[in-house]
Amino acid sequence: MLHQSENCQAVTNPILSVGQLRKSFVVEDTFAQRFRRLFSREAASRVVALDIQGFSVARGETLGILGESGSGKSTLARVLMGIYEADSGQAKLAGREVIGASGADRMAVLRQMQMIFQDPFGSLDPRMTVRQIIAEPLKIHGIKPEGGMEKMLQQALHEVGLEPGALERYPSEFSGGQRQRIGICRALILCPQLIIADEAVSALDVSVQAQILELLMKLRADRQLSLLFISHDVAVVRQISDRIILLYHGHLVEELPADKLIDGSRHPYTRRLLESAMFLREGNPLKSRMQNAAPVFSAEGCCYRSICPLQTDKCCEAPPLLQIGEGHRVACWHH
Amino acid sequence: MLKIQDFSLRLRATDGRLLPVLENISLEVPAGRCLGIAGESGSGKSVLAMNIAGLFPEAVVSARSGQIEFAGQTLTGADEATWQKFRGRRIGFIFQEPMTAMNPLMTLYDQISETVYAHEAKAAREQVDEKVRRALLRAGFSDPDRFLHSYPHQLSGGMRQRAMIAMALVMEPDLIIADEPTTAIDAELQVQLLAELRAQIENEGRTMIFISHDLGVIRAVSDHLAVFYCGCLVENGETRQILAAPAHPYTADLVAALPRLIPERKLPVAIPGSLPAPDRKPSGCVYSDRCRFAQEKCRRERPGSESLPDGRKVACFYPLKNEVGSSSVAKA
Ligand SMILES: Nc1ncnc2c1ncn2[C@@H]1O[C@H](COP(=O)(O)OP(=O)(O)OP(=O)(O)O)[C@@H](O)[C@H]1O
Ligand SMILES: Nc1ncnc2c1ncn2[C@@H]1O[C@H](COP(=O)(O)OP(=O)(O)OP(=O)(O)O)[C@@H](O)[C@H]1O
Ligand code: SF4
Ligand SMILES: [Mg+2]
Ligand SMILES: [Mg+2]
Repeated sequence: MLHQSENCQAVTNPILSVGQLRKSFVVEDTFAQRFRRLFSREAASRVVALDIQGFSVARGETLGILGESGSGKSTLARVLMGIYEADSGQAKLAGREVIGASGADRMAVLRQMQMIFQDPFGSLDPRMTVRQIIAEPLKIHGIKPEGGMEKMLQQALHEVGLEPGALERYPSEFSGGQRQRIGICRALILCPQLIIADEAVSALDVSVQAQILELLMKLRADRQLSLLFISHDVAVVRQISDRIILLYHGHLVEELPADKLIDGSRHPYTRRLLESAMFLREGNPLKSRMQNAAPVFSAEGCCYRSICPLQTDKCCEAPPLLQIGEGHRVACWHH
Repeated sequence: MLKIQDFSLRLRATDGRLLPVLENISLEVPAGRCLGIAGESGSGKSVLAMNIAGLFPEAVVSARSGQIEFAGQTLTGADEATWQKFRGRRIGFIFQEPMTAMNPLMTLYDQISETVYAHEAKAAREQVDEKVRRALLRAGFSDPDRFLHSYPHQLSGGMRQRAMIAMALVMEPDLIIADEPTTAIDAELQVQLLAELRAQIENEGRTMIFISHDLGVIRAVSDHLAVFYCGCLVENGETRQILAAPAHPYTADLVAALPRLIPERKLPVAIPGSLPAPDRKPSGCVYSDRCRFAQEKCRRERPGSESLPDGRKVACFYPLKNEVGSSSVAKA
């Protein structure tokens, strides 16, 4: 799938190219049901969390990933990082296969691709000082910084806006926002080529958020850093990204240049997401009050059809991801 | 009615430093209303919220003064038995970090029902089931049954946050304290959840404190707004008035830092510098070392809280007469 023209057009010299990628999870049921399954050989039911067609990220480019809660954004990040095992699919980072990489291959991949997590708490060991936390990746990869460890740590800390005294303190002594900076600092210390930022600025207050966005833009310019920027915040993603992909229920439903998002997006899901965002950020009125009906997902047809206002019989067949303009692809029959 | 009077708190850090994290905070929230709290990370929002709910670790407190009162009852200095009664049932707390507040080894159902059993030990199973489902629906799970037996790590970030909301709402508390409850949730769901929380406080006469750095969210949900900076209350009053025309320079900077969807592709304006540690506050105005309008006097003296003609209170010697920085969140 990977290098077929329709999947990877528009991006020359990609740092990351992802092919078809699929990941499903077992639906957790009661203990009794699990016990019964032990004897009945009945397969557990599974939900598909991610089923995408492929996309790529160019060197020095920022690709934004938008999608509602539970749409598979973090799953995508984790599959790429090797935290979750994909059901099937492939992805190449600077030409090296990422999916299923293990041992030395995985270490090599991880040096070039680091992640900033959604939950700063889960990823910072409360018993380690900030010094230990930040220095850990250097130790794991056996790196001795040129100007000495101390200088490197101080510089790294300064880069993310923490005071030098922070090195000897523990994560619990920092506020939520400060803790997230520690996480960012740790991800940057190895000088990776690609950073996957999963809701990295969501927990930060807006003024710090603006600083971190500036920092990421600067790093991007200085180091040719590529960024996979995951967030549910439409305004932030639009501002920092060159291109944006939208996920709905694990499917890639639209891909477009960031400039086109507000006026040029065509998928009904994208339009709906934008309306809510315009209400929250710009105080625009909500035109269509969204029905609160629960979406029903079936394996066939368009993933959005159960709640789509444009839905017709045609939509019982899954729409292909069609190119409709320069760098613009949409999976909708009625775009 | 929630009343906070002249509340101050000093902590002792692990290295022995004394940190004045809250200074002379006075606020009132009538029943049926929502107070939004905004402010830079580290400004003391969570510390205040946890003190209202009696959840702050006493071990690190070095001094506390002032009073917190809810529905006529004084909460400051209450004993553990009183707190037990209050927490969960009368005060629902939505934590900022779901992963630390949830038990990773318990399913969603077990965690939420635990709160119910804690207050109604002999509740019938069907009743509890019903309560748990209703709370999950209210918190935006359109299909609660699918996730009842999931563990926290099997939920997406936004789902965990909604699970926290469900836990806080399950006992239908009179006071809801929400600490950044929607940072991990998409705009669509945010709009739904905010409408649900609004309906709860308006229809049932509940009181809510809603902490968020997102002034757009604050505008959608709150009646009053309190802006914190470095442990001090710098501006408070009606949300609409403040956002339409911030009077404190910090509030104006905060408004300008909000990411926008229109004015084309401009990055939000970061506030230069960073929040000083609680024990390194400037001796004059707390914002004086970052303020664009600071004068000699600001560096010398700490401005007191003054009322403006429209009723709001501002702690600044030179409050903005507006236009400055006001265009951003202004509409609505
Ligand atoms: N370890 C797991 N076990 C079972 N199901 C999982 C697991 N991790 C994720 N899921 C499921 O996969 C789906 C997608 O989750 P994911 O975390 O990728 O969403 P997301 O887009 O990151 O959402 P959010 O914006 O809320 O963080 C959800 O339905 C979730 O319940
Ligand atoms: N247990 C603690 N021990 C020592 N200092 C603490 C403790 N909890 C908080 N602090 C300090 O108190 C100050 C206020 O922290 P708080 O968590 O209330 O900030 P916040 O306004 O909620 O920030 P955020 O938006 O990042 O959540 C910070 O300087 C923080 O470092
Ligand atoms: S008192 Fe002075 S320094 Fe403080 S906010 Fe007002 S103008 Fe700025
Ligand atoms: Mg996620
Ligand atoms: Mg906080």
